[in-house]
Amino acid sequence: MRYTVPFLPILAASDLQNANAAEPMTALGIYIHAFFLILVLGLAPLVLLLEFLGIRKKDSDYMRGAKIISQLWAVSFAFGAVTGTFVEFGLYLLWPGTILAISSFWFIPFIFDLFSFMIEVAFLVAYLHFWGRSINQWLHWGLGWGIMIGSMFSGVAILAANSWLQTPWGTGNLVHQILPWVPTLGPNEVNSTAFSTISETAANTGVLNLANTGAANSLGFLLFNPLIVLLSPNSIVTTVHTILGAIIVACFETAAVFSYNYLRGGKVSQKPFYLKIMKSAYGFGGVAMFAQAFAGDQMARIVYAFQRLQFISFEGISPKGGIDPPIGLLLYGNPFHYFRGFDYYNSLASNSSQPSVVLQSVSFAQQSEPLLHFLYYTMVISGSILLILGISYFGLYVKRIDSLVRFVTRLPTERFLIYTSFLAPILALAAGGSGWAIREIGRHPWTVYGLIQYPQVVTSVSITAQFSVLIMAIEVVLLVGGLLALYFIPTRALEKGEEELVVIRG
Amino acid sequence: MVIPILLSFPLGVQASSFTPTAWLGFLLLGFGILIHITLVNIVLGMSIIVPLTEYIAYKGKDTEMERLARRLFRYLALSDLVAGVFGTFVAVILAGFWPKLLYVFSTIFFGPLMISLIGIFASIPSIAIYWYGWERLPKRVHLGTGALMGLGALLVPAGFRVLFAFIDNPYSFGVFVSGSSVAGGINASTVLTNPIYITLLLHSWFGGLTMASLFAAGAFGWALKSKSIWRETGNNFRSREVSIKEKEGEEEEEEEEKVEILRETRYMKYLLRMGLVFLTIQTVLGVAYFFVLEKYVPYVYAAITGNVSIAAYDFEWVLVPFLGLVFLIWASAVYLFVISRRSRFAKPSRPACLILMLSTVGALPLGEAMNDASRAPYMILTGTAGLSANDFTNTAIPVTWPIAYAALFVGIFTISALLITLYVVFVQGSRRFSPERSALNSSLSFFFLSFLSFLSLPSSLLGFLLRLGKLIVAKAIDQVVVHHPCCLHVGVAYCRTHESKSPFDQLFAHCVGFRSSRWDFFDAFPSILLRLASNEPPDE
Repeated sequence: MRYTVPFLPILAASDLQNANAAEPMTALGIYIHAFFLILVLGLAPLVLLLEFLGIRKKDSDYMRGAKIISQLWAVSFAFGAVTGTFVEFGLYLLWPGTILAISSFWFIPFIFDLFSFMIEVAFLVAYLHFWGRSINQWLHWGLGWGIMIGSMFSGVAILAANSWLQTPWGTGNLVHQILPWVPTLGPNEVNSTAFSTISETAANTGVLNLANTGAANSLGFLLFNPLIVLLSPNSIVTTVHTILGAIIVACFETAAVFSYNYLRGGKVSQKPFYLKIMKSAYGFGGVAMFAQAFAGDQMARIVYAFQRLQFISFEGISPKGGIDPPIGLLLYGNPFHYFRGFDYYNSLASNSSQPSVVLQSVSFAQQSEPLLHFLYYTMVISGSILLILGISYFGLYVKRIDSLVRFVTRLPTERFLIYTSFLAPILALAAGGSGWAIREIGRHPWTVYGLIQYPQVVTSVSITAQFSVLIMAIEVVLLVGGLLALYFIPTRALEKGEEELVVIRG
Repeated sequence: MVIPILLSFPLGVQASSFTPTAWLGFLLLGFGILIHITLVNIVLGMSIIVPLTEYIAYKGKDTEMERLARRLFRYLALSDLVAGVFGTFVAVILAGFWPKLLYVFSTIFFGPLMISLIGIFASIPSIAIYWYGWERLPKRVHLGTGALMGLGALLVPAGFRVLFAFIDNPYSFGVFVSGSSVAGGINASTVLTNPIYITLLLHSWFGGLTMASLFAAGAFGWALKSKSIWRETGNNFRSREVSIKEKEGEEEEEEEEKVEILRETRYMKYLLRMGLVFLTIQTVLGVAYFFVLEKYVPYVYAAITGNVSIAAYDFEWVLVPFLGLVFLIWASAVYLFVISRRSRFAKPSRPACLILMLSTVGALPLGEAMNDASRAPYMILTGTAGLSANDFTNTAIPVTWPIAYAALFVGIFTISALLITLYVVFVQGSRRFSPERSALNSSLSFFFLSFLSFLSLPSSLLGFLLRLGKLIVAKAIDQVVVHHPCCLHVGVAYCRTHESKSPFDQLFAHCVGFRSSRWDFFDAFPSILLRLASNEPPDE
């Protein structure tokens, strides 16, 4: 079947100027938003685990830990919502073409996210309000599940939207005709003529012609199956990988907070409490790290399957091609498997409907190779150390691991965990941050991989340096405000000490 | 009032003018905006009133007024929280249902939207700092934060109202409708010279101030009347006042309550005085806005005055209750103000307080709804015609009428469930869930509400699943023809249906059928035949 392939302009330096000016603002905003978001996502299972243990074992320490961490959860949610509004405005104002050309594909994720958000709000308010009040404790725990499921659904929706940008699932062979190495992207559910017209409207005119708004209507449906976006393999793996990443970051950050309080001094009677919660959080993060190793592997396979140029860039394979023993072993069971380099992909230009776009795409990948390679190894090394830390946690229970930890570090496992809990969140943030940078930078120059380039959807309003500085300053202020709230709220709660003991009712 | 609007508008307007997507998007957007705009008006008004009250307290070293500022601030924080949620709702509905409109707005109105964004991000952190910094920050710094909060709140409509002015009167944008496209944003002078903008903006500002001050005044009056001391004395507080003085030191609790009544009377007077000033200005602005509409937005003017030779729909029936609400605001506010001036101990009438609160909260969204809905079926007006709302909707997603109805139901249901949950938590929570009462029952009822709201998530997908006929097979094919052919034949042969009992609705229809002929409910035969039964009446 032949498609109407959208016309893709060759990007000159002037085309990129506005997009490059807008990108740092958006990137910073998303990173700050993501920082709070991963705490909302990641703290949810930890709070529920601690509350479950508290109710089940009638242990006031676990209950108190859950209550303090749920306050962190609420602060993160509030700042996540505020920074989310900022990111949303940024998307609409700086990248208006995205809404015009892509919002149909994001329709279901948007609606999903909206309802999840409202459910999250309702349950979060109820959950916090009823802490320690006379409602059934299991019922309270059930309210916590409402927040967790709401936040997970929200995560699924947003990650599906982002994954569609990486792998525009449901477009069949449309991308393959432009970038010949890209396989078929699911069933063809797109009216390619309509898509082409809409994306070219965004690209060529800068603004929609108000007098001709009905033009797109005459083209009929753009998308025959709105749910297709949720069914992408990239979306499924990305969701699992990101949620596990969020749990790891949140758990290790929590462990660091409690380790800090443990080492800081204060009331001796509080120390077992700090230690207990620190161990729970560390252990949960460690277990999630094992699962993350498998999810990470799956993620790499998805990139290899659908975004070959990004894969070559971050693996650092030479332009002429070469071997990559660990990856060859993992993907093909053959350490000497030969991977093709950029030269080969340039040679595929002749198979494309728009050869110059292929050359441009390869050129962008080559330019970003050193950065992606560095980020990739930052991620892999951080993840590997975290995996080792996760294994070392079991030194608390397995004598051989304990002996190994003592032999290597000259420290008992418990002490080792306390000290490394400060390193672990830094590594987790480095791994997560690098991973997302690879994902986004590696997609350049595409907003929708193979279909829409990012200068096509950027605002036509000229972005000045002063404007960028102002927006980034607001973003930094939001981050600082959030960090202060995250510091002061649990600190005050912990300082209340034993007065805060939760009464466990029979 | 909301129910007739919700019923009549969808039923009356949908078929002829809108596509299902436009209709659904119009209603969801309208519903979200009405809730959002009601709450942000409280936020706007309180963001000015609270720092102003704190300043008055600071200047006069008046701890009572400081206490009032703090109490009002709670309304602000809570309203802002819920308004934020509905702001997100509106933004997502715009992106999902109105991508072309959002695209046009975000491209052309980059500057005004940035003003609103700056307003929002001046307001949110300053609310947080103001809250946290009370009695922690130096007074001047705290007041400065309050001033920033107020400024932020004023900036938000200053930006957004440019868009509203534009869709009513695309002043200097004739180029759009004549066929050319325009790149870039708009300059400040163009915005300010739109004759609608300034009136609309002032109307919004004073609307928020009026609503916040009078609603709070009504709430204080309502609380005053609920004091136990009134109940004990059969609402005859003057005589009670004397008796309290005579029995000085009798009961500490009673004394405290008396102080509380004095305090709240003062608060009510203060807010009523302020509210009446704002209401006067707002009324003048309202009349001015009406003339502005007549001159520059003839289509809306025609719709709200019932001139259907110009407008497609008659919204005069909304104008009348709107003016009625304005009258009620005036009447109740003046009445309460007069009552409160008679004594230091106000004896407000509870119905008057209720009327003041309800009419204040009702008038604003009703006015907004009238203004927005009277543009139908257009989105952007150009004199007596306009650009159709259908042209701005997301036409790329297949939506049919049944899906649109289902989605509207789910949307309203979820919003209502959220609002009820918040109400239960914030308003009823502390009372209902007090240890004295049966916690279990209350908990279960609360959980039920939460669960209902949660259920709406999967049900929101139902519409789309239904559209994807690939996934759901018709019942006849699925259960009768394929799986149960034997049962069908056996059922027919043995003279009974495949179900042992009729579903509820069939039973109901059966009852109706017995009482009438051919659905003519008022022309029923006698319940029994006019002769004796041969043996027994038939079983149901």
